[in-house]
Amino acid sequence: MTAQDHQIRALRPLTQGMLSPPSPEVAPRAPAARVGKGAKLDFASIYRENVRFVWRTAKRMGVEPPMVEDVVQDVFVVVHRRLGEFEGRSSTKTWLYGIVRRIVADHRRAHRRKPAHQGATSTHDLDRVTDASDAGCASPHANAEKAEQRLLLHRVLACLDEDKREVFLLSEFEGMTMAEISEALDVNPNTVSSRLRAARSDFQQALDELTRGDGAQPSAAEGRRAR
Amino acid sequence: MSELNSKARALIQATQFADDPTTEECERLHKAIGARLAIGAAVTTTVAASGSAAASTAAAAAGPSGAAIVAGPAAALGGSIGVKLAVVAIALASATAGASAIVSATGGAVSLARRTSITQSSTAIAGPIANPIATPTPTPAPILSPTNPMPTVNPNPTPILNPTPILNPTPTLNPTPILNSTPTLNPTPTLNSTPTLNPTPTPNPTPNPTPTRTTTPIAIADPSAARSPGPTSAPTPALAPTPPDSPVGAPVLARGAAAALPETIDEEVATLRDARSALRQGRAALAVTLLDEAARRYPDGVLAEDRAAERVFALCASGRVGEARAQAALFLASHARSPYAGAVRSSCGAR
Repeated sequence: MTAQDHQIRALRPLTQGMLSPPSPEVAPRAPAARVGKGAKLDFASIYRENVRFVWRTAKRMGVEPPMVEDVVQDVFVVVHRRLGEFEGRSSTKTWLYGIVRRIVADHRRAHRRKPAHQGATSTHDLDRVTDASDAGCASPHANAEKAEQRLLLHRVLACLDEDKREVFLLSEFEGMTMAEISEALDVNPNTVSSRLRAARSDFQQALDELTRGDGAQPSAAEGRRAR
Repeated sequence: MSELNSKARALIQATQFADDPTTEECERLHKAIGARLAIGAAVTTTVAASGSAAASTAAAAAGPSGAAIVAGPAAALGGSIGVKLAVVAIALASATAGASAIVSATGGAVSLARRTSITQSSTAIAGPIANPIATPTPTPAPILSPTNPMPTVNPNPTPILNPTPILNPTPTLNPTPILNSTPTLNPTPTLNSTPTLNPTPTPNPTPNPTPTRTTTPIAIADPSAARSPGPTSAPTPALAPTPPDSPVGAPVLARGAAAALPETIDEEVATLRDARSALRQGRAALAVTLLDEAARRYPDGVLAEDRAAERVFALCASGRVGEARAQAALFLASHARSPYAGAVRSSCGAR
């Protein structure tokens, strides 16, 4: 055992529980769990239950793949620091999303020379098809198709305004209710509703445009977003 | 209300978890966050236990102290965490010894930072120690054997506030109390013992603003340290046997200072990371811009030396050879013994 192994082992007691692999989200569309007011939150369980949500949300909000890990780290460091401030008036997921949103905004400010969604999906994602956890027992063709679908999704999402995109993601991908989204974004439920309606329309339109040909060429929708 | 057709629905369905992290990414992330949170405990413990040059020695030599234990694996994790932890270790080491420390970051990069802006704020800690370099390194045992496996929330963090160090704005220059206090740190590393350690945690009604600056090293070390009872409660046993005039208890006190500085450090580290990333991607001009902006924003930042070296490389890569040479000469004149010196010397800027 190397000296480094010893060092890592020395760290384990502190991070036990947190370092255990996150449990797969069995029911991602289940309503976000609401923690009772004054309830004591456990960082390890919050981490395990939400790390995937935080990761994919950061990625879909336009954080470049190489930077996603940094963003997620920052999110959970903030979560750890602010656990005591969480009053249980909102769901954990809603509270987390607020933190993710702010960290991603900070990240964007640091990279403000780049367009918001540039590079969120690239050939890097195609490399991921070789990853065992992604690939499973699927055939190479299936894996490639999966990567293409992900690429397509990101291109379509990139066509949405940020306000619409986050409402769309929270509703369509995370299964959050209007009330939860309203709380997470701190906007009127009616606004959430109208944004979601517009987001769906834009998503559909962008998807249609991108898949009209082979989807490989930049479309008018992407052009709009770039402007 | 749905205006999505079946094709759109199918895409959403198919990509529902497409952006989830892979197993490898998960494991890397777990280790990185674990190390990042644990550093707070390590730093707090080390400062509280030693209050001397222990951290500096440990960080530089990768010895058995808390800071080095955390920084070691963290540096091997890759990515920015290594850099961030390096800064943490540097800040800690500098804060306690007033010296600079060399900590290996990832990818062979060496991060060396002299604590410039931190020096002033940490003098309250370094000050009372007559000879910090010669002070033996106590073993920060609590960090190695915490009974609480998880950093959990302390619903009532105030008991760890020991106002006594603040009460005495002019601590005597006597290292003995600190040395004598260290052997008593280990017997009761129980994390939950915090409230009993300070039965009268009444805040100082007339706090002296100057000693509160002693919180800076902890604040820099980890913003979560001040709030996370898991990490912070580990060193609290160290606070009980501390003589009243010892400043080692002060770091957990002033939340105001603790809240402000870490953000700056984080931002500074992030900017340097971005600049390096840009340079690696061949966007040297962007790297120069980022470094210049960082130099304006953090003129006395802990990474000033790193930035200066990076700027030479970036200028060189962007074809501004003349400027790069001038900067390299300046760098070598002021940082002749820098770990970057060799690279700067051999860069285009020095030829």
